Amino acid sequence: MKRTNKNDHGIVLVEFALAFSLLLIIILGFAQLYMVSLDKVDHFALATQVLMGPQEKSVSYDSATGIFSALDGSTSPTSDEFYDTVGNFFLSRVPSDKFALYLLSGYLLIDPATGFVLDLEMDAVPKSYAGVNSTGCTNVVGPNHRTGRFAANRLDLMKVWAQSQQPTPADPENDDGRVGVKIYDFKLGSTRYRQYQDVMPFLFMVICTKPVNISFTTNVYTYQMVVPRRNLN
Amino acid sequence: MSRKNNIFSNCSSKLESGVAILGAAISLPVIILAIFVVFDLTRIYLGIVFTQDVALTAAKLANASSQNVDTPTAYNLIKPAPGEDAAITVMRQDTWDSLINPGDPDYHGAAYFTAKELRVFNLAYGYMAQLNPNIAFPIPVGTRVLGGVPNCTILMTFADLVGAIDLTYNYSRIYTVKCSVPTLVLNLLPYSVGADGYMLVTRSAYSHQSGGLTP
Repeated sequence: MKRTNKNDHGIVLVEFALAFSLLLIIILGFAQLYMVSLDKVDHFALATQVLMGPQEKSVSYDSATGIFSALDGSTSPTSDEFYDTVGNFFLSRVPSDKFALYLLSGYLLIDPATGFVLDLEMDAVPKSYAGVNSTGCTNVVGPNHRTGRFAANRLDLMKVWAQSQQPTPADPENDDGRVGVKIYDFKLGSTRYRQYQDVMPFLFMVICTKPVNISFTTNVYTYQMVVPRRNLN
Repeated sequence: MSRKNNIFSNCSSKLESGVAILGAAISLPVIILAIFVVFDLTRIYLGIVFTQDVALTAAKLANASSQNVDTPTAYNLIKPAPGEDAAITVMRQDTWDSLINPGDPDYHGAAYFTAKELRVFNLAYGYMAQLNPNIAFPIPVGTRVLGGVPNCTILMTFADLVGAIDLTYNYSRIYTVKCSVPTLVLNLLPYSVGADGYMLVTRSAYSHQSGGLTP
């Protein structure tokens, strides 16, 4: 093809269009990151307030048997009441109605005599608290799965680590691997007496928002693991 | 013939130079404007993070059991902008008055501050000044002259004060931080609020059962 002025002008035009498109994509990408980052600031602020905010007792105690247990539909408070106190407080503090919260309680099961971790337990289905305009989060299946996976992974991580710390052979004077809420620990003569709470509660929160979409559609998720402020009192 | 060609080539290069200068004259202001916009957006982002951090810190301080710090009088918690007129500084003091004046929109709910509340203000404003030594506080009432620096106010209201004050009740508080962030160009847009050349950023934090109201 012979090089002419018209060809040169055409090539310049094509190059300009390509460069301009690339610049526009980069600017829109940074703008989207800006919006995502602003949402994350709100997420962490809300999580901090939930941590300091109103809570129900996170474990149940049967004075007849002396056994601590996880909350469920028959305990006082029930697991729903526990979730509702946190969830409704969250909704009262959100800066807009596009926020959604997914809550799931999990527990490490503790041997009350030794404080060693036996197993883990968690509720089956997260409970959600969603603003009116949070359909970007609630009309997808993802958040429930994310919450369950997050809780299971964290609980398993803690269980595996705690069990790896347990001394073998067993040594009554060695405190390694003894986690959980201690009720008492004293020595009478040469015998050491310990008592731990049967369950150690955790609350897993996934906060979801859908920011203003500038260049590409995305949801913003933040994951928070909270040790409830209230235990039994 | 060669002279004719020379004339044409001279005209062509002059035209190209003219177009280049025109292109620069059009694109340079756009580029400068874009730089200013990015600068403003960055400043606003930092202002939002700063405001939220101070609000959360004030709420955490209020939840703490004791604040081992002097109890100020409210009028001491003032930091004027550099070179500020004395009349503006008096307006900053008036802001404290408005918080305990029942007729004022910023009335916080009681006609006095408890010693703990004043100590929390002391620590929170101190934290704010430590984060940004250029800051002035509180935002003076009734003026748009803010000294070219960020101005912030920490407001406190009660989340559960209904009717008469109950001296046996453990009240929850909401700490709201308002900051006027200086901007270069974004203040020209219709949605900006606050004083001219400033954009107002507001963030709050909840402090659950953070103390009684015994004077």
